[in-house]
Amino acid sequence: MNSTMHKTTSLLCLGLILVAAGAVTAAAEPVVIAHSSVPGDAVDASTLQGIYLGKTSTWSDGSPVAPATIKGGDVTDAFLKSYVKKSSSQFASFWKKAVFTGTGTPPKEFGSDAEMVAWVAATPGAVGYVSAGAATDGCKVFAVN
Amino acid sequence: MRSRNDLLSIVLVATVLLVGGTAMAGAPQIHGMVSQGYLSSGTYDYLAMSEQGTFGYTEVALNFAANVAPKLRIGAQLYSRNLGSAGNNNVVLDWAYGDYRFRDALGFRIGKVKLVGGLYNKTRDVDMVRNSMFLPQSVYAENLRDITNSIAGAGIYGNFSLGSSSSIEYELQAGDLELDSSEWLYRQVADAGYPITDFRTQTDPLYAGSLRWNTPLEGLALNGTYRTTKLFLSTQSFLGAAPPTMDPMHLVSDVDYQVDYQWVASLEWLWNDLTLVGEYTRGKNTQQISVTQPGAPEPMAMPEMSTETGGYYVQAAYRFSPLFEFGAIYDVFHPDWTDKSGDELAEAGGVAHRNFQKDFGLTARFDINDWWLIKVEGHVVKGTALLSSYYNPEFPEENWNWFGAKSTFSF
Repeated sequence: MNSTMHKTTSLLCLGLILVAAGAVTAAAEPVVIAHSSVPGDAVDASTLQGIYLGKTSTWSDGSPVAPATIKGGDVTDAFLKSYVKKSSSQFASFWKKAVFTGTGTPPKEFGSDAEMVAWVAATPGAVGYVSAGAATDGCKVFAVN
Repeated sequence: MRSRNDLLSIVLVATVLLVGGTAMAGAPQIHGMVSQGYLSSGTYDYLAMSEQGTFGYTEVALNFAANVAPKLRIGAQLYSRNLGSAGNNNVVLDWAYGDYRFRDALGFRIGKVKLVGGLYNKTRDVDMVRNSMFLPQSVYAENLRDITNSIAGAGIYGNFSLGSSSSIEYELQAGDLELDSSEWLYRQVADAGYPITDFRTQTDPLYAGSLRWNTPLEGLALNGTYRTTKLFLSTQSFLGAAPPTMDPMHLVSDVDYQVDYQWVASLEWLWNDLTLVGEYTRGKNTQQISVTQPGAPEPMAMPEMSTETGGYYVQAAYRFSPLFEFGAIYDVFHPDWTDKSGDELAEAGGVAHRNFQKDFGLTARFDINDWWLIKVEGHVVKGTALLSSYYNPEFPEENWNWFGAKSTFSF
């Protein structure tokens, strides 16, 4: 009896931990947004990675890309890990190399979802991301293939 | 005088960027860094008079860049360093070029461009992007920094996506080394033991290329680089101890120095918070020396000498937290690949351990915040191949060690 109760309690605890972890992941899940002028409704993952590493400089219609990030936080960690394939420190190092050898300018950086949305909505060619559930008024929500 | 000209150049470039850049496409970006290091070594002096401990290791950089048109970017960096007797805090134009990116697969850079070499030669001065104070010396010898940093010339570059996060990056360069700015080279020649009374240099163009494959395996990249050039050095020396058959007066030595090839094969794997790097390098140099005594009708040619060099290293670093990263490195270099043990050198009367250097080090990096980091590291070394006789007149011991610390601020 005691053994059964103990197992049940353990499973409940494990379940709660998994639910909590899932909730954190969901909150940190990034939603990719773009300016309304950007062509299409989706971007493939390798193009998105190229944009954030300065390898891809134009959209499919030839217009220049303008990427942006949010300073720190779970959503940035998740975005960089999922789509840029780098940790935050690796991403920072990558752009410091570019800055100190003159090969590129890092993405513009904002302090919050709201600032990011306002800038993307007003900047042709802009692409960024926000936390799941954040308002994306005036922006196009991009699917990532 | 050269530093003054470089300073004027960068002020001019900065002015153009700040005034012109603001009026055109992108706002100019300004970044910089200040580093202060400390070196302490046992048995020998390493890169500076370090045996008693020295703070004689300072680096400063300030750069400007602007996207002045949709596909055109221009920028320049002012750089100063002091490491032992190298640099002396003179301000030099580190790089300065225009970059026209016709498309992602094809861009052009013209000006003074950073020279490709291994994974990190272009970023060797960017202390913020690595775990250790110095890059591994087998591939990025610190005493060669001044002549392997950049070339005045041009290059083409680009990248191709292969899908699935895989891509190819390439860069081809051609240009001239700026040997006349190299205090190191003068010191190396002077280090031969004779006072130099005149020193002139000339170079054929240097050709270099790099090819990098970012593989589909997340974070794994393979890289290869190649360089070749030819240098001509002419020195006039005063011989204090000339051979008996020569007039012990002024003597002109001409050296044709051919870098037949210098290649580096590299692997870099960034996996979560772990960084693993391995690089292997080989080189071949050929030199022909001819000596002319004043009044002599013909120069006396010495036998042509050819040397194969080589080395490799493996390095690992793990980031435990945003504040702390720990690393280890094993770095091996041989100035004569055909005599790695130094036995032949010893038979010829030399010191065997001048033909190898095997360095094992532990490194720690503390990121205090986004703008300030501190590094601490300790090394045990077997062999003296990369120690300069400029600091060390004799090499009685095979084993030695060094300790270093460095603080870097950047913005």
